[in-house]
Amino acid sequence: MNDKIQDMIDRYIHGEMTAEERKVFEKLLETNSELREKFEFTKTLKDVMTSRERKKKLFAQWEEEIQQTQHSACATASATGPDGDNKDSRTFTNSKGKSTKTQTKHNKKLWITSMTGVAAAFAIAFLLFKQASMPTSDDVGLASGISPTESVDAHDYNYLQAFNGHDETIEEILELLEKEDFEEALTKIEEAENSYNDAEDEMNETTLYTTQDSIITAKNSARNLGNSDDKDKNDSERLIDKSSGRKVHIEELKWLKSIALIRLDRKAEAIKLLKEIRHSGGKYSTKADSILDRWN
Amino acid sequence: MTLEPKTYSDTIYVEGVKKGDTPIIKSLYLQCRKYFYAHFNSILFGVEINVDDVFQDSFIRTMENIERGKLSVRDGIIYGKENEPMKCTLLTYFMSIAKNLHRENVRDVKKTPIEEQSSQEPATDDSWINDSIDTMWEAISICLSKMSKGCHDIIERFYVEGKKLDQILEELDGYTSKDALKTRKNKCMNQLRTCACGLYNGLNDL
Repeated sequence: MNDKIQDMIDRYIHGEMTAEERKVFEKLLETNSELREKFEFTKTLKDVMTSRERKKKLFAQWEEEIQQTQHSACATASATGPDGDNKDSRTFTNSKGKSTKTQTKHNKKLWITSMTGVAAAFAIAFLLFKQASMPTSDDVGLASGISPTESVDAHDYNYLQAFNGHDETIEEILELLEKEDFEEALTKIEEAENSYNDAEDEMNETTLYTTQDSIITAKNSARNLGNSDDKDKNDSERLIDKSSGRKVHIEELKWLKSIALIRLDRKAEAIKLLKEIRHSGGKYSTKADSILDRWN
Repeated sequence: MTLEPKTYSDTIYVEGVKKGDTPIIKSLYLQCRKYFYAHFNSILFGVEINVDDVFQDSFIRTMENIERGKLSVRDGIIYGKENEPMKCTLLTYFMSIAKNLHRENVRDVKKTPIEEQSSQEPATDDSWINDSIDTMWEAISICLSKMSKGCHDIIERFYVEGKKLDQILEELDGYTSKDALKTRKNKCMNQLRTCACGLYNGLNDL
């Protein structure tokens, strides 16, 4: 019975009644209190719902604007929490499942997207920095995660086993290394390297000059029938000896530098230098290779 | 739009809502929203809820109270319950409504008898707020905010959007036939009527 009354009201409201049926219905409204009460209720319900829906549409529009504002704010400074704008991040069970429930989820999505972007940017930046600052993939010692200082034994600290030459600078550096003053040792090594490089440049210039001079001298000798041949030969040998001596010292300095770098835990630089020493084929190449192998 | 909108005095807000002035209503909405999300933890507790729903339903109720004359402005003063000058700010008024709505929701969830619930609750200082249900309109509005999503979807499509049952059957999942949908719709209407009549008649029970 109740449903029949509601069906009648619904047909009237939806305009599904004929003109005659409408007249009968309106007559019934005057006399049937139950029909009248239900009809009034249905009309009021329609008005209330229409009013609420109109308001909720406005709210949805404003919430969308707020989301856009938060999204742009998030892009410039991702310092806010997942719900920005003081919204709490608690989990709530939706009582009704209306459109409003999507707002909190939407906030979270925005925040997660932003945070993922930031995290990805950091990861990419870190990888780029790592690639730029560290040796390439064929380098040793990185994958193992072993600290260079951990993988170098006492044997490697017999700094200059094969060094028989006399050089004050080298001796000073050895003393510093023995005292484990690696920073100071490194500084001394770098000063010595610069000094030797300058000397080498100067020697190259001298050699060039001497060679040209020799040519001139030879020409003069040819003209003067070989009077100055012995003097030119002695100068050349002295330069070669000096050159040979420098090579020895440079080799020692590189080895000592690699040791100092290892002890200072400057992995990347140490690896680079050890590889250089290994490829040079000099007397420290086997030791360098041995250390690099242990890191690999 | 910024999150720090232009603010107005409470009297301007009340007059703006009464006139349907959208920029003023929007400003009030943003003010209430900001305040609500900063403070709802202190008033909403007991059960898990959808906080967005509580906020919007509370704001709708605040608007309806103004629209229906429960709050009015005369000579620059806001009058409320029994035509007495309002003793609090509009934000406090709004928050009290949120608190009351939440209390009703909690009561529904717990299914606690009204008498028992009332004796358990501490006395509140917001009894001066004229939030009593004086009309069927108000009762229906409150009951709509508590209605299930399934019922809401059917009732809204049928009575607000004017759709026929065949159309609604195509749009909604879970109904095998037009008759099943019609039965559900009538059940929803009966529940709503029971709820609204209960509130309107002071029974306050669904």
